Amino acid sequence: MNKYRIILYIFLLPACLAPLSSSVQAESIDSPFQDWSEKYSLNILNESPWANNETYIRQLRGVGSGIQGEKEIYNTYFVRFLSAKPIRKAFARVRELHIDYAKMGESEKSTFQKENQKAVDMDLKDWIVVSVAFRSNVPREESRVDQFLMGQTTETLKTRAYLSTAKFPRIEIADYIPPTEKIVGAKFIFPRTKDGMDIVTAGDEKIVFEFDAPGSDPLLRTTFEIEKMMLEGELIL
Amino acid sequence: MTRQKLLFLLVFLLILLGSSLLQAGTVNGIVRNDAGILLSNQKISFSGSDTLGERIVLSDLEGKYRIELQAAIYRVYHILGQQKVFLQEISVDESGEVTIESTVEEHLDETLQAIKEFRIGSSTLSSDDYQNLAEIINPFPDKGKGWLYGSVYEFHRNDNFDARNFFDPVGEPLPEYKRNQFGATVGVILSPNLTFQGNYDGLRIIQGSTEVSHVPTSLMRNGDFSELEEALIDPFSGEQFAGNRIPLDRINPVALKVLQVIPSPNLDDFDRNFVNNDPFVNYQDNWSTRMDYTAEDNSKLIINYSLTDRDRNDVEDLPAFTSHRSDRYQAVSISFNKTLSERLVSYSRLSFNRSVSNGLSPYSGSDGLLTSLGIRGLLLDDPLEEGYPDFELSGYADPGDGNNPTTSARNGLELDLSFTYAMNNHSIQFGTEIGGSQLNNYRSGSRHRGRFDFSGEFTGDAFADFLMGFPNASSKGIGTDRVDIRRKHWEFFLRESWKVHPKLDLSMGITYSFQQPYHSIANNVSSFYPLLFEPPANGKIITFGTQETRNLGFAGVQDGSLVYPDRNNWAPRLSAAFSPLGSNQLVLRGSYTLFYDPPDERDFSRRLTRNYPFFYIVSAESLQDQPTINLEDPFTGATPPAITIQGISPNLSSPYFHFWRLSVQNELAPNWNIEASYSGRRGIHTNRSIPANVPTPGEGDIQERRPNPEYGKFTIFDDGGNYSANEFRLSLDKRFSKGLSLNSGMIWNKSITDYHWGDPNNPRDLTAEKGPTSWQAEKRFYLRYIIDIPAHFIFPWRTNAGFYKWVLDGWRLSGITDIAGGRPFTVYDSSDPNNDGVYGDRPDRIGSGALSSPSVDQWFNTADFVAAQPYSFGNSGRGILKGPGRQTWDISVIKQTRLNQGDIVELRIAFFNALNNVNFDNPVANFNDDSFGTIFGADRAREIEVALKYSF
Repeated sequence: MNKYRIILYIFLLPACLAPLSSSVQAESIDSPFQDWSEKYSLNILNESPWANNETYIRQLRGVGSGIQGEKEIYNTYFVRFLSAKPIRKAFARVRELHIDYAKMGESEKSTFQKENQKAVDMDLKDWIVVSVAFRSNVPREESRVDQFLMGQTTETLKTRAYLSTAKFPRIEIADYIPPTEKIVGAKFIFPRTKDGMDIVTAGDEKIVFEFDAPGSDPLLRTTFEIEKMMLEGELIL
Repeated sequence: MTRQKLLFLLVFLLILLGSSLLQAGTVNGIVRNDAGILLSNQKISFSGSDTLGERIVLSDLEGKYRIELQAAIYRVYHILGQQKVFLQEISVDESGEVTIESTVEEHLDETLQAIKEFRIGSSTLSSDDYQNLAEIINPFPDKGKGWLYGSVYEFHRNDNFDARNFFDPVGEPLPEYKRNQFGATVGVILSPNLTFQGNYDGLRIIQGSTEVSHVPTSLMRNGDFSELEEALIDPFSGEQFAGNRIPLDRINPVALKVLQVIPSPNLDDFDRNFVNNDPFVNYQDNWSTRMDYTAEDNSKLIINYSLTDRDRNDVEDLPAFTSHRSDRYQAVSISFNKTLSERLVSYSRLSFNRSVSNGLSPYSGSDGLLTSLGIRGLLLDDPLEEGYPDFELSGYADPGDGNNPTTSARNGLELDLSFTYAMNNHSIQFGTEIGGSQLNNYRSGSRHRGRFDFSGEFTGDAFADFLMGFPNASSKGIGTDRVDIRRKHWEFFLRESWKVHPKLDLSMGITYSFQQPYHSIANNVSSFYPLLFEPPANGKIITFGTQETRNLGFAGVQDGSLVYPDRNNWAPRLSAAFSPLGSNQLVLRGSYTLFYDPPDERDFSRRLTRNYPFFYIVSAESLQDQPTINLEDPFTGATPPAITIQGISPNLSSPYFHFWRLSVQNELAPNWNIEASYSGRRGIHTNRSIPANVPTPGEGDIQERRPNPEYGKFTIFDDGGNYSANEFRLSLDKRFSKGLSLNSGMIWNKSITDYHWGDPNNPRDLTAEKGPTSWQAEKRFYLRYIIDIPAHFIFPWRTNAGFYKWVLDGWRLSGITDIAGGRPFTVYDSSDPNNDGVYGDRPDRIGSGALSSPSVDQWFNTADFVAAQPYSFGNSGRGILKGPGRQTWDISVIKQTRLNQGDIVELRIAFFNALNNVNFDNPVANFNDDSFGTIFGADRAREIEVALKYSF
């Protein structure tokens, strides 16, 4: 490879990567979710300012180590702001793309579309909702965390799950909904206000979700940047 | 979600409290469902007259609300979505307070209800489609979970991939090595609430070992010791043998027979002249199954069952004594957790496990072998015990069948029950663990075949002593060595987590545990009374569970035991976490825990039933410098056999450990954490095994000089030990993100014990045994990392399709590095120069022992150690020297390829000890050994493993 080609790569590389890094911004979050591509929707669900995933890895040491053929245990928590409309739109779009319309009658299609739209349009002005799903490459780890999430209640999580901002170091959970399915996972519901004040505002730097969860060390702690959640001057959360 | 139809019930109570200043009455309300669970976020409406209008209040997290209303009659409604459900009518007095308890249909705030019902699955999605969707939305490095999922895998290694061990002979093929680990996992999602997992894991290892030792040369086998520089002394004349040769007619016939199973050298090195490369064979099969069931009310039931079978052989220094061992382990457990109310969660688990082990010598069942050797006084009742006696030859590989047969059958049953009660900022956990364990048919070495020690004290060479048939000590076991013991245990605990402040968490708890001392069901327990270091002449052996022992004050001891139960094990714990900046970015943690580590099964099984008249060891020791016992008649020689005693202190208490830790953790950047921590540990009443009935150093027959010459050596298991450790750790971690995970740290550690086990230098001064622990290096660095190799940066022409995607995507590097300093070891002299019958004597130290360039031939300056003055204790301390440090770099390269249908093929190449560092063992530390200061072994050289896994 001659040096001119290397220089060419150096200049072309950022140009090639630029569309990827700004893809969320380039497509319109405000456009109807029916217009979204699957790739864009999945990007919203996993790479957007409203979605983080946290992976905790345990490497097993030595010859012959391993659990069921695994040498590294990957435990991943998928954390999303379900109260943020883009997340619900992305869920709705992926769901829509994977529904088998051919098997549905007209009334079923209509009902499905209405339900999907209703899920997107739900009014969450009083609540911030965080969804937490879990996956592991070792089935028994999944089973363990599933058992934990199913067994929790709002009360038991009051000492284990928080939202934190600069003004409010620990906002207690207001309600908890155990997983009704694995994709969305458990739902942690927090109030948007405390003592009459918004717990998060556009002026904040970040909002942190903390969860004393099994398989995390010492606790699941994931940070979301407020600035990136702003769209046309409005905080989308 | 299906809405339940609930009953409506109204309980109306009026409590009037006079307060003329109130402008309105107060209504206090509680909302619950028909199951009694308090409901939060319920909208309650109070409708008065037209002028008063409607007031709405929301119940809080405890189902309570409070509202002040003007005096009037109100109709109370529960707002259920768009509907209003009438509850009751109340009268509010200006000067009063009204309390209402309402049972309503459970109903969330409308939006919360919608959120609760938010889900991706629907009746129009098949189970398989749903699982595929799950894989798309929550992508994962592993394969997604369809209704049927699993993997098959094979990990393979062989000697063609491996580097040569430092001590393997150069120019010859590496020892044979084949290792195959293979298996399959299958998961079936039978319904959203019911899943099943099954797993099989097989292991087949055939591994040529590298057991290096020193065996007699061909000349020596014929009595010719002319290769030795030292003079070979005739023990009867005191003169050197002519030509350093033992006359053939003076070679003992027993030794001649045993010589048949001692190989000739196969290496040129004089000190390390024999290597046993016989294959170590290990076959293992493990099956496990698991069923998870989730009920409608979120209760969860999990049933596990596993079965492991293992067959292996234990390779010894000498090929003739490779033994066989088989084990079977089974475990079943049922766990169930249920949310009893919003505040109360329960967890229960019932488990049972059973393991059966058998270890046999290669000569087991070969009737008459022992008798054919011609050693008087050795008789076997059980053909399973057939084999060779143990011959301990100082400086040479030891022939003998060791402890075999070893057998055991263990059963364990345990019930765990715990509850978690949440209350505002408090979470309280309480529960119990109740269980029992059995050890049946336990045999760990009867010594029925006898043991004979040759130190070389008569001729100057241990093998020469052996050839002439002159052991310096002989011993054998009498009675049954079978042990059947039991124990029950229970524990109660109470723990609380308290969120004192958004920046401060406290956690505290207390545990009470009781471990019943093991007792023998055969009630074959005896011991010496009184059990003292210097047993008095009027002491005697007593059998427990008899009126005699009760009369002696042992009424509190259960039959079949000889230890008072320790009922005082209360263990508190306290910890705090403080986040001065909030949000856990900077966290200061401190904790203190006290925990008990009661004596375990092994501590009892090796001692409880091992005394006269049930099972005991008789021993004979020769006079120093003059052989008074011989191999043909080793137990009726110069000194009479003496009964040894295995004692357990009746007041044995559970050792306990204080553990404290302080740490500061700071998040440097998202996913990056740095932590500095100090931790300490202090062990009190740690168990130890002390030699007793030991004479003071001096000339003459040991047995005659013992405090109680009627008995041989005592071994007393008590709780007088101490342990302390201090550790400082600095760690830097990066949680996995952007393709990089990192865990690294540096540890400085200092841990000290006093006397723990084995033979001390001076049994009357055990504090002099205080020294560094032998199992821990003072410094250690570790690094663990996973790096996703960014192929698109390395290969910018990469496209997302076809060949490039297959080849360039999915590369990962994983590694573990450990670098540690040397571990302490102790120089000792097994020849018992102080003549007290305890073989942990130490020499005098006249220099540091340090060498500027230590080597495998001389790791430390052996000239810095000289024999202690006769009949005295050497001044060399415990753990004063350090062995070689260790450094290992394990690196794996992983390539994952996703197939079109989503299945994954994973290829992994793992390099263990990738840099092929030679990690030497500690050197021979026996001052009396010809190989003193020499290193004989090293850990494994570089090994490469290739693995293939297919996930579907």
